[in-house]
Amino acid sequence: MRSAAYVLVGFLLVLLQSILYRFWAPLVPLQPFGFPLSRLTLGITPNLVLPLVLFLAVQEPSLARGSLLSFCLGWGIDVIGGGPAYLYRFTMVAVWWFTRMVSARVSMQTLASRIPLAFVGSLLESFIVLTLLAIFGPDAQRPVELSVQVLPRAITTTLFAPLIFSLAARIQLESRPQASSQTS
Amino acid sequence: MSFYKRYRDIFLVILLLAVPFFFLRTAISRPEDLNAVDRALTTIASPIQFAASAAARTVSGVLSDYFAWVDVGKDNDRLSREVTRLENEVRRLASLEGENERLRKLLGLRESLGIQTASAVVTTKAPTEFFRVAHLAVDAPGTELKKNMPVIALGGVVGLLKVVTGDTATVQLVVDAGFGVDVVVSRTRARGFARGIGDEARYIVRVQDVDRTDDVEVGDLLVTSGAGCRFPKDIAVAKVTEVVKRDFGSYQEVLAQPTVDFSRLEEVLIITGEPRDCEATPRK
Repeated sequence: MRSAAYVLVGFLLVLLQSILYRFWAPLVPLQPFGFPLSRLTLGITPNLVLPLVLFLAVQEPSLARGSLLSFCLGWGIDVIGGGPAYLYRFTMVAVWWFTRMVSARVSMQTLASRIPLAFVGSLLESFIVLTLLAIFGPDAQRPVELSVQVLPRAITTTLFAPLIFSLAARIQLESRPQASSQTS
Repeated sequence: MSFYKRYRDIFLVILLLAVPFFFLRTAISRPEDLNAVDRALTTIASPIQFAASAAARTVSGVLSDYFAWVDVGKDNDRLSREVTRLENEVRRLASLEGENERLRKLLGLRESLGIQTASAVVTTKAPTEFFRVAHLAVDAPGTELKKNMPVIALGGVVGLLKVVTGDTATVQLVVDAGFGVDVVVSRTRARGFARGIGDEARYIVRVQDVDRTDDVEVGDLLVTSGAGCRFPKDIAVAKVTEVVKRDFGSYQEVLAQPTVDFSRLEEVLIITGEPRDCEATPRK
């Protein structure tokens, strides 16, 4: 039940992520004081699923469930996002794995500690994606061009992260009583 | 946690990392190749995606409209300023055109006079109505101006120079109480002496010494007689507006309105030379 909720929320977040650009699309043609706002909007679409994966890495005790959920969420990004297949399936599992390794050593139970995690996680996700594109992609220059989006993406992902963390925590909290009642 | 379960999970993680990694190369080179599960998921997601996108497009449309309205507002301000600027430009050009026309006519007048003249522009008018004077600035600096030089314009006689200071002068207008010029009725050649009455409310001259038997009617044009060799002959002075004939006395009373519109006076000619064919002595 909890896994289904995570997957459903994850897919909704991917959908939301895929239409977010429309909200700042009206800003793109504007040039207040001669400064093109398109420069500021470049790469600001956050990865809304990433905080969910990070939450799973920190909070989900089951290796199998965490990795499978991350895989499914990456799948959603691959399919709905329209990028190369398997790119985010691999990336999300890799980020989940890396975060789980780190969280085993560093306390990440509070929201304040998870926010920097979202920033680092986003940088790591972008690094993995661009590296894979550089290795397997037909155009080696493209990852270099895309690299300017890494920082804005990390910043906006970090800004949205508390919201996603709260949502994930809510799912976890809602599913806990059921689990306890079943075991009792 | 059992040994089997622990290694099963690790194996699963490695598998979930390895499978996508190995398929990734092909997927990047041929992104159109989707497997059956991918296609099914895409089919399921498409309508949801479409609905979500439509909703977002609506919100985005509202935002776009707002920014478009902001732009329209800015464009409106810019265009309003441009229209104001162009209107001012049109007014300036119309003024220049009018000035050009007046100067062209003035040039024609100068040539028709056949005497030496200097053109001047009216800079200011008298600040009070007590004195009907105007201040002139000569177009050609260095022109020798003298007191009592006649000043004329397209409409006719303007007045006489009273004060000369370098290239500027003050002209006493026809309607000033201290001004007088010998005139004849253009139609009948009846003679008189036009003098300003200094009426604060009206620009009017009184024509004195018109014999009561002379034929003068309202609307008759009064022109300079040329007597005294000051003004050239036949320059318009005023139009008769009122004729009062009495049963007694030798003269009739005639009031006339100057032919020059002093409120719109811009360019004038100062007659610096002596008129030809003038009557050396004024009438009796």
